[in-house]
This record gives sequence, C-alpha cells and structure tokens, in this order.
Amino acid sequence: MTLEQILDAYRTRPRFARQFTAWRTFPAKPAQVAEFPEAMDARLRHALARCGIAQLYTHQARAFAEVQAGRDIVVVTPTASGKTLCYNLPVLDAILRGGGPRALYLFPTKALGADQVDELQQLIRSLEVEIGAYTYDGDTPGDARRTIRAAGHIVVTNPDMLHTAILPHHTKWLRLFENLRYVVLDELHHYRGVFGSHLANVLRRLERICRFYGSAPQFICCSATIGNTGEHAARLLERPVAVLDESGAPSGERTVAVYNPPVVNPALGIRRDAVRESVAVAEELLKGRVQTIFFARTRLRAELLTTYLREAARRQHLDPEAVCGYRAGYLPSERRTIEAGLRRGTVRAVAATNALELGIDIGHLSAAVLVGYPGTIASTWQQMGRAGRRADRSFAVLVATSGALDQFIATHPEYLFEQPVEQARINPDNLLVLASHVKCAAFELPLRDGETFGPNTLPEILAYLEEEGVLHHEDNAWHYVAEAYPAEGVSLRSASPENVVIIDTTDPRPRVIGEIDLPSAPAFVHEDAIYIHLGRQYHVDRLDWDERKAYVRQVDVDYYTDAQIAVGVRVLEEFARERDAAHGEAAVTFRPTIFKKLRLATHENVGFGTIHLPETTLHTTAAWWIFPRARVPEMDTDALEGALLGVAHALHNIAPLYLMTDPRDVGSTVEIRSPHTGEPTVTLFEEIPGGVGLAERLFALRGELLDRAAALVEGCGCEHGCPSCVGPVLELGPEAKRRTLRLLRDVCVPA
Amino acid sequence: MISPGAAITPAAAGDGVEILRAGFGPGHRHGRCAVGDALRAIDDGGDLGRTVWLDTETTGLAGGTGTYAFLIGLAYWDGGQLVVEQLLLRRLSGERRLLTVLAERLAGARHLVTFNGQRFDWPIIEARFVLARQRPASFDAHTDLIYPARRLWHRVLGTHRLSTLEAEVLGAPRSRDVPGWEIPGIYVRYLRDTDRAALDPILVHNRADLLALVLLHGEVSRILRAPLDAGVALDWEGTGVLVGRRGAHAVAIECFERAMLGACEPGDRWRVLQKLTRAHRAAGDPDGARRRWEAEAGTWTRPDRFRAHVLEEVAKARARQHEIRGARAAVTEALSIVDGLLEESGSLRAARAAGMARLADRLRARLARLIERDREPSPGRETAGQHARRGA
Ligand SMILES: [Zn+2]
Repeated sequence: MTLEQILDAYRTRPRFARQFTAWRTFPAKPAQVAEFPEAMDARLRHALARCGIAQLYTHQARAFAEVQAGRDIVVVTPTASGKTLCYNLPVLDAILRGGGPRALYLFPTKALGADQVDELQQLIRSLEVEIGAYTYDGDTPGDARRTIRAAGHIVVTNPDMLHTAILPHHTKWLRLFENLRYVVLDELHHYRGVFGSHLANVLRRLERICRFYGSAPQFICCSATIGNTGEHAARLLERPVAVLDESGAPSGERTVAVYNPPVVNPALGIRRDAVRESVAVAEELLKGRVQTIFFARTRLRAELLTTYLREAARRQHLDPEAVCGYRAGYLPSERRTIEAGLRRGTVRAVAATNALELGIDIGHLSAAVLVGYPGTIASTWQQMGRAGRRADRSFAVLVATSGALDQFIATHPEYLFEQPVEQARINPDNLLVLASHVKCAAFELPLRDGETFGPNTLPEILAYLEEEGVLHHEDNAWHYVAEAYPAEGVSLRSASPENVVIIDTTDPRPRVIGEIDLPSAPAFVHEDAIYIHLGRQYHVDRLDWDERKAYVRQVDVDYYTDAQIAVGVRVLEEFARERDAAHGEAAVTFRPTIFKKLRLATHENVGFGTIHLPETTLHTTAAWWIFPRARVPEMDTDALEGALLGVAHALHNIAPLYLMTDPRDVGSTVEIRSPHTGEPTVTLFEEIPGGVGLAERLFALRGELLDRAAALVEGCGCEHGCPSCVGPVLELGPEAKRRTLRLLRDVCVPA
Repeated sequence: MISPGAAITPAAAGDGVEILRAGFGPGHRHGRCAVGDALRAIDDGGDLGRTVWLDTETTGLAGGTGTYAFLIGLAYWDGGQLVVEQLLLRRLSGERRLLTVLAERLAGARHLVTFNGQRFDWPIIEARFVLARQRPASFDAHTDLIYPARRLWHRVLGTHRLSTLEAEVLGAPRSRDVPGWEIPGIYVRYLRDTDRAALDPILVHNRADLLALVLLHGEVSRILRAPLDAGVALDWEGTGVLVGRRGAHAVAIECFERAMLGACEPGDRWRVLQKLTRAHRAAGDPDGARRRWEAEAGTWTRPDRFRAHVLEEVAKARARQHEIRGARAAVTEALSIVDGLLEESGSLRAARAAGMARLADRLRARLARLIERDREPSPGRETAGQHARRGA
C-alpha cells in the first residue's frame, strides 16, 4: 500500500474518517535557488561543489548578504531547510579571508552542539584549509581545552558553559575575545522564560567582555516560527535584528492532520487513550512499510508506545526490532545506531521524546505521529517537519489527548495553521535574575560607576550587593570581593536556586534519586506523601525543611496522595488596569493544609492527614480578572465559587497556547471577594519568582483569553463539564459548565 | 615562627601599594634547616640569582577573573642574604601599580618556584596582568614543589599540605598561624574598615610560607640528589619514580626495593614491582627484570591470584629471552593455580571469577603459543636467541 492509498483509507473508512478534525494538504514547493554570491571566497564555492551543492537556497544567499552588510540577523526556517549554511558560510568565508576572526556558536544542548561540529568539520575537510572547530563543554579534557583556547577559530558550546567556564575566565580566552567577529545562536525560540531571561544577561556579560578586548561581534541567529521572532530576538540581544523568514528550501506534497480519539464516556467527556489510538492509526502505516516517527511528551509514554508498536509490527509481519525507542537517557552509541538505522531504512518506526526535536540528523521520514500536543506550536511544526521528503508525499498527524489544551487544539485546529499566536517571553530585568548576573559581571570586570547593565535599577542592586558583602566600591568602580565563584550558584535553567534533595533510604546505603524545587516541595514531598519517581512509588518518611532533604522509602500501595495548598494573593502594586482586568506585582502565599489519600483506580477518598509545614511566599507578577458580584445575582456563593474555579481552570489551560510555557509555570487562584478588587476575582500568577513577563502578556490578551476559554468550554464534548474544560465536575457541581460559560461570556468586561 | 634575625622594613608606600622587605642571612634557621644549606642544595645550575620563589594571598580560592591577589610574596637571593619582599595591595585601585612593581621584580628572573602555583597562584597573576592590560612576565621554567612533595611524602604523612611538610619535614611546626581559609575574609573586612593592623597576621603567615617554600625546595633538591641517605621518612615508591625520571635508574631500583620491604599487600607489591622491573629495563638490564620476577615467585609462595600473575610475568620475561621451557613451566604452574582457584569459585564474587576465567584463558593461549614455539623452533629465531643470551 502506498502512502497515497493509506491516506485515502483514513479519509474513507468510518473507523478513522470521523475523528479527523483537520486535514490540510500543502502542495509541493519547488526550490528557490540563487547563485553563489559574488563576494564568496572561491575555495568555499569549490568545497560546496565537492559536497554536491551547486547553488544556494534563496534564504541562505540572503543570510550571507545580510551578514556581509554587517547586520545582525535571525533566520526563521522550517526543519531541515539547510539552516546551518546560513551561519557556516559567512563565518567560514570570513575566516578564509584572513585576519584571524573567530566565532562562538551557542546551542541550547550539548548533544546538539556536538552534532553541529561533526557537520561543520565535514565542510571544513572539503575546504582543505586548516580551520579549528571544536566543541567546548563539560566533557572536554584539560589539554584539549588549552588547544581550543589558543587555536579554535570556531568554538561550539552552550550558554551554561559560556556562563560558568568561559566568561569568568575570560583572560584565558583572550584570543577568542580579541578576535570575536560572530556569535551564532541557534534554536533561538528555545531561549524563553527563565532560560531566555538568563541568556539575555549572559549576552550582556559577553558584550561587556568583548568591549574590554575591543571586539563587537555580529549575531547570526536561527529560530523556529513563533509569533514574535523579531521582537524576541531584539529583546535577547537588546538591539534591532533583521528577520529573514522566507525559506527557499523545497518540499514535497504534505498532508497535515489533527485527530481526536473517539469519545467513550460522553457524560464525563472521556476519550480513548491517545497512545492506543496512535498505534491504531499507525498500524496502517506499518502495514504499508511507511517509515514513521512518533513523538510522545513523556518518557513513560514513549516506552508504552514502543511496546504497543512492536506488538503491531508482529501483527503486520514486520521484525519488531525495526521499531525503536529514542529518548534522553539512551547512551550516545545507542542513539547513533538508531540514527544510522533510520537513515539506512532498517528502522521503520521510532518512538521518541522531544530529544530528536532539536535537529539531530536522521534524514527525512515519510510520516510523523505526534501523540499529544507537544506544548507549543513551534514544537508541533518542528516535530511534524521530521516527515517531509524533498520530492515524495509525506504525512503528519497530531493525535490529541484528553488534556484541556489538546482538546482545544483538536476542536480549533485553525490555531495550528494560521499565523502563530504564541510568543516567546523573557524578562531580562527580573530582579533576581538580573542581580545574579550583576554579581557575575562584577566578578568578570569591576563595574564602573555610570556603566549600564540592563535597566536603570542597577545602582540599587549594586548598593544591595555591597551591603551583602559581595561588592566593594572604590575609586568609581564596584569590585567583586566575595569568596564564592558566583557563576556556580546561578543555574541558567531555573529561577529558584534552592531545591529539596530526595533521598531513597530503601537500601542500607541511601542514595539521592532526585530533586524538587523548593516551592513545589510542600505539595509533593510532605511527610506521608506518596512520591512518584520513574513510575515507582515512594513514601515520604521525613521532610527536613531546614536541611532541604526529603527521606523516602520504596513502597507498593494502592493509593496516591493529593495535597491541599491554600493559595492567597496579596496585590502589592497594580501596574495597569482596563475595566475588569489588571496586572501587577503580587505576593502569593502557599499554606499547606491537609492531604487526601485517593484510591488509584477509583479516586475514592480513603483517608487524609495534616501537613505540618510553614507557609511560603512567592513574590511575583500576576494578572487578574474581575467578575462583579452585582452582575450575577442568580448565583449563590457556592455556585459562584464553582464557576470561578471553572473559569480559572479554563484560563489556566488556554494560557500556554499564547505563552510557550509549561502549564506549571503559571498558577491560578480564585477569591469570592478579593481584598484588592473587592469583587469575585480570578488570578493567574507566574510561578517564577519575579516573573518573566508572562503576566504582562496575559493582561495584554485579557479579552482574547476569555473568548478562547469560552470556546474551549463550549466546544468540549461533555455535558456538564469535565477535566478537559472546567475541571473535575464532582467538585464543582453539575451546573458548573453552564455557569462558567456565563461568567466568561457576560460578566467580565476586560476592555 | 620566623622573625628573629629578620628586620622588616617598609620599603615603600602610597598609591595603594605597600612594600615590605625582610632579609635572612645564610645562618638563619627554620626548624632543622638553615637558609644557606638550602640554597647550596638548590643551586645546581649556578642560576640562583635568577630564581624567584613566589606565594600569594588571594580574595578567593576558586580562581577566575574576580579573584584578587592582594598580597604577593617574593623571595630571592641577593648574594648576601635571602630577601623576602611582600607587595601588599592597600586599595584595590592600586593594582596596576602593584603589577608594575611585580613586573620589575620579575624582569630578570628566569626560574619561578612555587607550591601549587601552576594551578593556582600563577594563573591568577597572569589574569591580573591581562586585566590591567599589561604583559605577564615569562619564565624559562616553573618548578611547582607540590608535585615532588606529593610523591615524596603523601603516602607517609597522609597529606602533602605545606604546613604539614613544614612541621614534619623541616621540623618547624607553626604556632598561632592564621588559618588559610580565614584570610580572604580578613582582607575584605580590612577593605571596609582600613584597619591595617588586622593584616599583620597575614603578612607573617605569607613570610612563613615563603621561607618554608625555600627550605622545602632545598630539602627536595638534597633528597633527590641522594635519596638513600636522606635521613627523613620518605615514600620510597614515589621517590623512586622521581629519581628514575632524572635518569638515576640504579638509585631508583634501590628506592623501589626499599618500597618492597614495606609493601605487604599483593596490590601494593604488584604496583611497585611493575615500576621496579620497568626501572631495570630502563637501565638496560632486562635480565635484572626477569630475575626480579623470579625472586618474587620465590618469595611469594602462596598459590593465589597474585602468584599466578607473577608467574605470568616470569614466563613473559623468559619467553622474551627465548627460554621456552622455563616459560612453559611458569605458565603451567600459573594455570594450575588459576584452575584451582576457579574450582573453588563458589566463594568468589562473580566479577572476580570472571576476571580469573579471563586470566585462565590468557594463560592457556600463552601456553599454546609457547608449545608451538617449543615444538617447531624456527632455526633463525633460535640462533638469534642464543646470540642474545650470549650477548647478555
Ligand atoms: Zn468538558
């Protein structure tokens, strides 16, 4: 069976046809090519010719020209469109021209960096010129480090290494910084939220050091398509960036579909399991021997998927070994074997977590099946882009889970196909983030009076750091005088430096099995909690709050625990208000109260206990919506509370569509009478201390979010409300769905 | 404590830098050692006037560009006495001047001597020069005494910290010394309250470190020249390695033999024997290496894994000298030991048994090769072997 016939079968067979909520076919797109630029070094042309490249795609040629013209650029390209040449060509060209320019490549992960060096070195080999391109990461041995510092034309690393190892030792990297002409930032959309806010500050530090050595590098960035590429790049680099977003790469005809599994319990809105359903869809592809990649959001799902796919392969008389798993945690050698198998075609199906999403070379497959919405539209397209051969037809399908956001996408698939609404948000001026990088910056070079580093709050931060004994002011400069190596204490990937360590005491020799960030600890590792780690149950015997240690023991019980945390919001400052919506700074308090023991299969309550832990406070930013009491005279307090909870649930679940965040980065709470507004209020707050700009964006979207939330609730297939729309109806009452809609539609007027 | 005999004179002040100078005559003693003796022991190249000893005190112990070397202690021989000069940063803004003075002092020096300076002090000073946009001084050689000190004493003393070496090797224990970890804090407090007197203990500490450095350098030089009559407790294994590196293989062999006297565990004996027989070969005496393995086989008669390994080495050495029958005998015995051990392997841990089985396999293969060689001696090779034996 050809892919063509399989697609016909999907559209005609009733088992499948009804479940597709979107089916779009994009015609094949021919390549748009350009001649090699006049200015390009002849050796580079010959090397490209030797690699079988006779012409460039238009976006590659344009990138070359823009870089030559001295502009900072961000190239927006689909997966596998030859983006690496967009930066490798101008960089190699400059190196060939002489004068010893150097380049720094930053990739968000180590694996991706290593991969890029392989590709770059191939090109350099065909150049037949001595150009040093090296990866510099935690695994680089000592003597190699010296070579790289002295002779690396191109240093490939990640932001974490730049932050902890390179900048604080910049004098050893004198040659790199004196001659730094280009900085390449790939996967720019990845640098958002906390990570992006940190990176913006690392780049501020980089610029300072470059200025010290008299260099002023140009930035060449690449990004997936998001709603605000140019703005995001400009925020990260703090300067205007030219956006190149027309790809000249060819693509074959492709079909992109959204599939919503059938409803099995209409009253509760429960649908068939997405993993099982994906396998059912995929069995046709296996039968037709169509090489397919599957993406699952969690490790556990990827493993399940592999098991089911192997069973399906057996049914289709296919060697089960032709089905592989692929995820973080596999050894590099295992990964290489699978990648080679994919390229050779001996591997017919691979079930991956997002490990592959980052661009590791596996060639092109014919079909992609996404088990669950990956969380962002950018990731969705990146994963779907794994299917797409230059000439042949390809197929990509998103199979929705019962999660609220998945259901919203499944019922409103236009969000996928129209101009993306999601935006990468960062807040480089988040006080905590900024203060930690001011420390690092002063360590690298004393900060002169009047010097700028980010916003104008700098003098206050400096004064605070002097009080803390970190800085010493003398002769118009702030010197770092603390003993600690400051970069060590600052993780670019988290806002809260503190974690609770989880220690398994099952064996006589205790071992650390994981960490949990401090703010989440009361909910997950309070005493007598059942903590789940890698699918195993652990009983928390003791939580030493002061020592930040939780002692757990492996158990096998038939219940789980659910902590009740009373959340309180106190608005500290209102930044802006429009009618019934506002945003501002808030102190959010979390008071753990009790925990429930719930039976695994039935969720029936089988006991409870008290949690004895201190209240914690989070200073952050929040957005809130007011639902004036007078406009809903028909609801009593209980009814109103249920409806507010429904609103909060829907808003909370729809927000990630616009914010490119994990739902866990935003919290929500409701008040029947908020001390600040005096009215029933729903608040969404950032779980990140100080916030990274999410609340501001929520406020900007105040009306649209209410509309989307209403559409989510209305479009849900349930009768009275369900976890996919308003939350667990057992707790909210049977009228929750109708009342939630009333609040969303008629009560709050946000603009 | 030092000081008697050393007049400390402020040599210069102002501009945020204070310079202190002290002189120690050849007769000045520190514990068992005298300055003059130490310098004589060190001075083998006649370049004493171009040697500088250096030790710094810093604002942090992790390194990196944010670490200031606020006190740089130097020692040098001016022909009549050992001069200890300390450059103290009174204000951070005086650093440029401090570095200029340092560059002047180092300008004529060719040989730098430190304790842990290759990893710590010198990279920090280099970073300071770069930050001040000055060229770092350069040297023909940088001797970091931490490496020989570790070889000579770590196993004996359980540490190779300078203060321990000072007490145990030089016989000059310090009393009332400021602990190293307190130093950065004291200096940072001084920056705020400018109470200069609070820095005195650090200056004393640094002078003591420098004097200890020079005298330790003397001890190390003396010991390495004639380790067998050193008169102090030494780790003979480490000493053998150091001496061997200097090409004194016969002395190295004697050091390793002494190390063997103290090595009771098979693991230790094995490690030292490897070095010992390598020293024999380096000395151009492969026969000595063979005899040493044979001697060990004669000493260690317990039929255990160690003996099997030793017999394997005996066999290898004999085979190299074309004593095929002797080699076969050794392998056969080794194999019977291993097979016997494997039979009782119920008591062995799985990993251990697997290792043993691999050893047995290797011995069998070796035996097969030896039998092969024995049965069909290639005339050419046999002749060559006889030549070799005659020559040896
Ligand atoms: Zn519903």
